[in-house]
Amino acid sequence: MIREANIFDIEKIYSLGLLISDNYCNLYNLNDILNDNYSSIFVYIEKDEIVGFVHIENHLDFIDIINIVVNENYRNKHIGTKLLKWLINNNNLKIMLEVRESNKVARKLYSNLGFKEINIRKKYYGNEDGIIMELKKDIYILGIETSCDETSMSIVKNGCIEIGTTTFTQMDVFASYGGVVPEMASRMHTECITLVLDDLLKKTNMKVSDVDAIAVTYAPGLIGSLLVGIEAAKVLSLVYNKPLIAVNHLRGHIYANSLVKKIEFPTLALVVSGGHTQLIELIDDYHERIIGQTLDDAIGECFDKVARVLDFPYPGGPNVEKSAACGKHTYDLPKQMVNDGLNFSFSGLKSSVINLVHNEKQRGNKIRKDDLAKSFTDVAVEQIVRKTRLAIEKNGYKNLIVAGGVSASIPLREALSNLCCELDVNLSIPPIKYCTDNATMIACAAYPLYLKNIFSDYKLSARSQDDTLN
Amino acid sequence: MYKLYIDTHSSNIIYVLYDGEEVKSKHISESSKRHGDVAMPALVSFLNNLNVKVSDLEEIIVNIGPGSFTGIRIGVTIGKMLAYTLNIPIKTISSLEEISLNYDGYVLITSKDTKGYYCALFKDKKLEQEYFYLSNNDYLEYIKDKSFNIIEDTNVNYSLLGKHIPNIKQSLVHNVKPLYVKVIEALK
Repeated sequence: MIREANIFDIEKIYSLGLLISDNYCNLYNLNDILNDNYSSIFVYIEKDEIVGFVHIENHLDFIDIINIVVNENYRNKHIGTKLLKWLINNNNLKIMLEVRESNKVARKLYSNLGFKEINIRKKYYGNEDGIIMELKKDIYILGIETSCDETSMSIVKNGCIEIGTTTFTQMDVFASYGGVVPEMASRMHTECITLVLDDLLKKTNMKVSDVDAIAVTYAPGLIGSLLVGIEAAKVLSLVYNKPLIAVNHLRGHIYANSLVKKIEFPTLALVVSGGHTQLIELIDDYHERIIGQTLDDAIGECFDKVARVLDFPYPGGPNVEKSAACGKHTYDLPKQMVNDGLNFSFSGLKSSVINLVHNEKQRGNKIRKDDLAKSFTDVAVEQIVRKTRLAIEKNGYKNLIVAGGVSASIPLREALSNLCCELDVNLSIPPIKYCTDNATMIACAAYPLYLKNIFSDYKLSARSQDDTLN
Repeated sequence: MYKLYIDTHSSNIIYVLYDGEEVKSKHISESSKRHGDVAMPALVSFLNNLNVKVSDLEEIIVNIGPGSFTGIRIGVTIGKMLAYTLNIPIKTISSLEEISLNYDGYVLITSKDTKGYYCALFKDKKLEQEYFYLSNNDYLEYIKDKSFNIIEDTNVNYSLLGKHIPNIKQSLVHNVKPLYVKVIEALK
C-alpha cells in the first residue's frame, strides 16, 4: 500500500534516510517537509511496516523527485518501481529527477518507466556528473463541440497535437434555408452523436478509456444544440470515469492557435466571428481582459447580412469573399468608428450597403455585386485592422493571435499579416480548417484546465451566453 | 445484470431499473429546472443509491416521445451514448405506446400539450396508423362520433412495461432518434 506520510512516520523515515546519507537527519527537516504545501513524502507499506518512501517537491508545472529510498531487506521487490508508477499515475504534471551517471541500474529503471535524459550537470556529485531525467506525461483529451450546426469530436494530445477529428456539418442542409434553424440543428446532433464518436474512434484507433479527460463546449451557443454534446460528454465521463471539462467556445477559438505554436503570454487576441468582434488581452491561461468590442453587430453577422442583401447563399461570409475577389473598390462606403477608442461598430456599414442597394434599385440601376462586395470587405477589414493597430500601439503588445470563424477570411489574414510585419509583432492565425467550429480547438482549450485540475460535475448546464467571456 | 428504462419526455425525469421483467427500483422526480441540468445527476445518484454500476447494465430502453423536444433529446442522447459505450442493446418505446399497454380494444391514446394533442390509434395494443398531432379544435372535430375509446391517461404501469420489454425489437444504436411527430415551426 502507498499513502502520504504523516508525523507518526517521521522516525521510520529518518532511519530509512540513513541509507542514502549518514547526515540525512540534518539535511532534511521532516516536520517542515510534511507540513508545507510545497513538498510531500509518500510511504510504501508492507505488513504494517514502512519499507520505502519517495520524497517530492511540487513545483508549479512539474514534480521534482528529491529522494527515493527502499529498505535493504526489501530490494529486488520492485518497491521503488511501484512508488514511481504510483506517482506517475496519480498526477498530471511532468516529473523530473537527478541521478548519478554511474548508477546504471537506476538510469535503466527510470528510462523503462519513460524518463528521458534531458541534461547533464557537470561534476554535480563531486567528481561525478549528474544526469537530469524527465518524464513527460502525454495527455489525451477528447473534445466535443455541438454549439451550432457542427457535430464534432476530436482527440488532442498535450493540448497541441491533433490525433484525429470527425466533424459532421449541416451547412449544406442549412444553405437551402438561408441560415441555421436551431431546432433542426439540435435534431441532427441527436441523430449523429454516436456515429461521430464511432467514426473518431475508428479513425484514431483509440478507445475512450485511452483518453485522460472529456471536454465539451458549454457556452455560448444554441441551448438545444449545446445540450446534446453536454449530455454525451457526461455519459462518457460516467462510463469511463474520466474528468469532465467545461470549455467556453470562444476560448476554443483562441486556443486553436496552440495547434500552430504555444501561445506566448501576454498577447493580444483578436476574436472575429458570427457572434463576436473583440480585442482581448490574454495575460495568462484563462486570465484575460477585454479591451475592445463591437457596440452592435459582430463582423460575421454583418458579412451574413450583406450577403443576404446581395442574394448570396448561406454561409454568407465565404460567398461575399468569393465575389469580392472578382471586384474593384468602386463604391464609396463610410469608415466607421474613426476615433481613438478600441471598440468596433458595423451596423452603420451594414445600413450603408442596404441603403445603397435599395437606392440603386429604385433608380433602376444594376448593382455591380462583385464591386460592392469588394468595397464592403475593404471598409470592414480596414476598421478591424485600424483598431488592432491602435491596441498594439497603445499597449505595446509583441504578440497577436487571431481567432474565430472570420479569421478564415483571406483579405483579413493578408491585412493583419502586413500590419504585424510593419509593427514587428508576432502573428498567429490558425490554419483555415481550425477557424470554423471544431472540437479540436475545444480539446486544446481544455488542456490548461486539465493541468490545473479544474473539472466540472454532472450538473454542468448549457448556457447561451457566458458571464466570464462573452 | 439490469435493464435501465429512461424517460425524460415530460416534466418528470424517470428512471426504472429492471431485474429481468421485475421492477427493482424507480426514480421519478419533477424537474422544475432544465432537464439537462438534472437528468445525469439524477441517474448517477439513482444508480449509486442502489449500489449498481453502469457496467451492471445489460440493456437500455429509452422513451423516444412524443413530448418536449428538448426533453426527449436528452433522454435519447443519454440512452444512445450508454448503449454505444457499454456495447449493450438498446430498445425504444413511444410515450403513447407505453400507455396503450394498459388497454385492450380499439383505443385512441392521446397526450395533451399546450396547443393540442399527440394521438395514436391502437387496436388490441397494436399501432393502427402513424402517430399524428391535432390542434385543440381539430382534435374536438376528430373525436366526434368515433367508435374508439379515448384515453387521456398518463400513468404508466411499469410492471406491465417490464413484461412488454422482451417483445420490443432491438434498435441499431446509431439509428435511434426521437419521435417528434410535430414538424418544426420555423419550416412551416
